[in-house]
Amino acid sequence: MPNENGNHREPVWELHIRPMFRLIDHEHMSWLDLWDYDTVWAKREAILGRVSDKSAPMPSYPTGGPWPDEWVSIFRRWIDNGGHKLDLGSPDSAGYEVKKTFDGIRISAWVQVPGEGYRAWLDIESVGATTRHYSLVVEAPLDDPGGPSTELEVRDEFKAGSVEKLIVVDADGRHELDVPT
Amino acid sequence: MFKSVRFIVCVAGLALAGTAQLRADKPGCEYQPVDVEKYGGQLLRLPPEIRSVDRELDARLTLAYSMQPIAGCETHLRLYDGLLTGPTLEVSPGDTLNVDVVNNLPPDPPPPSDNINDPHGFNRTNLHTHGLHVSPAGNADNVLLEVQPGRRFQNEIKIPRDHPPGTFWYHPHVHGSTAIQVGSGMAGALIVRGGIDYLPQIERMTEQIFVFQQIPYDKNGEVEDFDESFGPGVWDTSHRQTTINGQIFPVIHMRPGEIQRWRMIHGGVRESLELVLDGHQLNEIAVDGLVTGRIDSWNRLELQPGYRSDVLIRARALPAGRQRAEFILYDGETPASRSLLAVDEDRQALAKVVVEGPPMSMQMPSEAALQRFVPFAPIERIDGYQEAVFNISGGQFTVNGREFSPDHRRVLELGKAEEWTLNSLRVNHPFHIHVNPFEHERIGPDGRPQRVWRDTLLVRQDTPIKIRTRYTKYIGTFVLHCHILDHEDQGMMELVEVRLPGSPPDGRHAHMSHEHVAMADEAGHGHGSSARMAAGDAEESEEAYEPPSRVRKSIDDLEPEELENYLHAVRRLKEISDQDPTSKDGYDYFAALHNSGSVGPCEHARDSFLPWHRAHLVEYENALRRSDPPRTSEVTVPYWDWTRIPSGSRYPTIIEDPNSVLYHRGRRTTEICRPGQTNGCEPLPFPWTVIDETLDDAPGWQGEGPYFFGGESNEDPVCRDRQDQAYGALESPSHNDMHSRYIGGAMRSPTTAAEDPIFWSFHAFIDLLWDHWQARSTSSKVDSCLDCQLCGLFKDPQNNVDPWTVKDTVSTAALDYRYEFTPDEVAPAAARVAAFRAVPFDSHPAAGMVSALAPQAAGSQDLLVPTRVDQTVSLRLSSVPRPADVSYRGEVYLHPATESFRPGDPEFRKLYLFDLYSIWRGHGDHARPDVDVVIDLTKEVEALSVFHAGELWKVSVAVVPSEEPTADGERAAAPAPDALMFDAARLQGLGQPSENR
Repeated sequence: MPNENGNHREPVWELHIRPMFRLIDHEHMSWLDLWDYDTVWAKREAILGRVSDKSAPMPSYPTGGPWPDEWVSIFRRWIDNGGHKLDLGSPDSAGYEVKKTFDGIRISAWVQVPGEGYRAWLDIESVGATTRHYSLVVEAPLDDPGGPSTELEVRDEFKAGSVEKLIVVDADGRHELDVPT
Repeated sequence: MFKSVRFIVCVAGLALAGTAQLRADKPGCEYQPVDVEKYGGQLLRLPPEIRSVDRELDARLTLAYSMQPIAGCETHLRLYDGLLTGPTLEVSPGDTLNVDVVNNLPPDPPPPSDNINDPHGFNRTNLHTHGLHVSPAGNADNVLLEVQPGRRFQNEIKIPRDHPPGTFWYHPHVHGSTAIQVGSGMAGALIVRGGIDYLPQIERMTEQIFVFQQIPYDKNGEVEDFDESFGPGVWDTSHRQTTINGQIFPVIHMRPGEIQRWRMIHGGVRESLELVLDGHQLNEIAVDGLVTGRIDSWNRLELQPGYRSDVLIRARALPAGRQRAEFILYDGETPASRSLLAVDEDRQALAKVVVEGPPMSMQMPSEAALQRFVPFAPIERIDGYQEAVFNISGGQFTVNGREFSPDHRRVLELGKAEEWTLNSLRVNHPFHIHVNPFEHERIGPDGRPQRVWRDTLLVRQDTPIKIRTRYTKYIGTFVLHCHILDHEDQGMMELVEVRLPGSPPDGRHAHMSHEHVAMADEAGHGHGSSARMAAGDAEESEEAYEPPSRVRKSIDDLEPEELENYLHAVRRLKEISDQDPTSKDGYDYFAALHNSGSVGPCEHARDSFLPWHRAHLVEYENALRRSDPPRTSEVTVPYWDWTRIPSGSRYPTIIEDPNSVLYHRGRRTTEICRPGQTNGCEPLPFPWTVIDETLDDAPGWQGEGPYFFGGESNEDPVCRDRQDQAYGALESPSHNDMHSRYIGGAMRSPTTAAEDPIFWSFHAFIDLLWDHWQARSTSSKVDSCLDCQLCGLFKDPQNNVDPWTVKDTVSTAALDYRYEFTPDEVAPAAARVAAFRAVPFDSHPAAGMVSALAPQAAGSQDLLVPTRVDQTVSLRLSSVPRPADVSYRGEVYLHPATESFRPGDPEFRKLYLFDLYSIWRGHGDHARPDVDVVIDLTKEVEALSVFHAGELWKVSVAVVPSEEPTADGERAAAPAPDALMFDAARLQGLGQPSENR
């Protein structure tokens, strides 16, 4: 069905742009940190030129081949929209709760956001044998509908396993949290 | 004679009270043939009419002695509002009939004896709505009430939205005074207008109402002496004349070729009418008010007391050169074998039809068009058998050998369909049963058998006949009886009680066996031994029966101690989990059963949704009760009635108190609008009017879309194989929308919902609604997947054995609990559009609901309004996405093509938003990424076809994502509206299906 008002989801750095730069791209372009927002934003036009250049495809075929046109289009749209990125949020004064539940472990916190339409979540950065890394991220709506500030719960649940520590990066810094046994 | 002795006493009593004076015959009231030419020949007058306004009919019927002339006799009769025929009451399905019965009759003398089957208390009254399928309880169609002289009583009768339109009638029905009062003229037409009445061919027709009455006034012009008024030989020797709307031999004018619709009601007591209209056929389209789906053309039409017949009369063309012709409507000769008077009845002229004027060209409706107004499906499956045998023996008027007794009742089970055998052992009797009509096979005018639905049926002596009936919607006590009303007053009546499924068998109330009837017949008084036997059965079964011990109440109605005990039990479960998160006695376990795919999970989008949550609630309630006995031993889960304005700002007070254990952060907090309040608040999204309609509209259990209550089944007994299918009528939109949009927070997602303690009271009300639907639906039992195991639920959870299955959840009584619940007053329909003809359907109550996110247009489909609707019209949305990360609502609009689709425009929403669907995000291993949604448009398109046939309208859909993001740690993507767009929309039921993407 056609969407009559054309209001599509717009790309965000963390969710849609950075994942397009693979580990091999990151390694090969060692003089240019493709996982760094500020670097990519500063070089955006040059990067766009390279990934859309059909005569000298990048990434090169021996390393996986060039981006499909849709990816290029998303990258261009991201630039045209001003390089949307997520913000780090902060939990309220109660901080993070790490709790044993019936069937696992739950980390949760409450986050104050400026209004309706904001989203917040604990984004999993990496999962190791004994540690899980999170960022507490907040995404503003494209068209801020206003409204009163509101609180959202962010959480993650996982099987206990051998995880001993949780690392959370938020607007206040880095936090190490012990997993209850 | 025994009876005569009784009536001498009765008349003496009246004389003492001064209500009947012994005096000489009143001039003009002699028993002699009526001069029809002299007293007849007036134009037929229709009784005054009272119609409903804004879904309410408010009428007052004042009962008093009044003087009215009949054929030269100044009668002195008990009448409604001084009229020989009461006013016509006209309602539509869904209306409420409020009738204030004011009894201004003088006090009664003492009864003639202790025998309640001695006619007595002629000045007591009440109101019966003959033929209506409405509640027999409370102040509805309750004939067990008595309004004493000098008192008044307010009847409030709710006509369900799915009530068949048709011709019904009303009259008083107090045992002992029914014949005297109805015989005096206390009767009127009761028209339920809708459906068939708006067929263009029928709408064009002039409509006449004929209330046939035989008022047996005596030579004083009174109806006071029971024996002199009724009984064999009285009417035919009195030379009284059948009246129509209180008139003798009225005249009806028609033009040649004109077709009129005559609604004919036999409101008399014991005369058989065999109607013949010279030179014309009586084209019958409805029997006892209920559409047959055919046009049966009769030369002679039988009307027994209580019967109705809707006939279409096409006036004959006049022969060339003739300007006028007259035709007589007769009550034909009735042989004694068919007569209720047990004599050969002579022909009597009842009315005259004068045909004159310019010819008209009018069309009969097609039988195909009529067919879709047949109100009930044929009964093909029988759950049991009943028998009712009338007899007059030993001075007693009996049903199954027993005179009427308030201590005896026949018990029937709601939802069952049964076959009854009716018979009479002496003379003919019209059988009538209240509340539920029955299906009967008769011989049509073509000589072939045909099925009709009716509520009254003549039973001839020694001629057993079978009928089939379903006990639907209403529990309560009412009666069956002979509609020769003097027989009824003398005992030929029986109490009938319809009970909920699972209610105790009650031997005292069981119907009588064939052996018993035979014994009563042969011995005349042989019912005594059977009665003793039945009483013994009753004692035995009553000892075995205990009512459900658990009563779930509204959380707002708990006594302080009950509330404290409930809160204490919830605190205890939380403490148990805090001490040992893996305990199966703790709160977290019960939450995980719902929330966690590896413990439960909850079941949704299929017909195990309601059974799963019922079993879940029972297990949770058991845990509450064992948490800290004896204090918690009687705790039950209280429900939150979210069809009412909440006691708190948005929720029940105790649930939104931040200091309560029932409080949970993150819920939406916008206030719900109070009456008269519009700013800064949200309207109640699901008032009882909406839920009531949901309960009415979903007659079946298993299937997809709005017609099915339970949802779609795939009959997979093993949980792991089960796939989501489609939502039932309760799950979407109300359940889903309440979770995700009304409450929000943890309740927004199935992975967190049960963490919020509001979950239990919310779902107790869902369970109550299922229970309520079971009690009123024709399909009261779950009929699919009975052996399916409910995911994760075990009666012995400690050992994960003895799994719950669907069949364990079918009856609340079997689970030993019940709900204490009274539905909210049916609120006035959502603001009706000012110009009904412009938009002839109600907008959805949620049309006024404010969303933070604007609705996104999802597509439109053209709809050419038909001239008539011959089948169900629906919009099927294929592959409606069910994302894992967001809940959302679909809004369905019906609007003129000339109006652009503006779902964000409040005025547009108020006029054209007529339905919703609600998609709660997918969850668990069973989740399918999409479902199909079916929206029923039949009523709306029917309404449109009356005024807008041939116009181009559009069905348009918008989607509104849930305002808030998920909060359960899953990677959350913003709800792109594109992701919520369905794959295809198809309109069905309007001839050629069309499709739009």
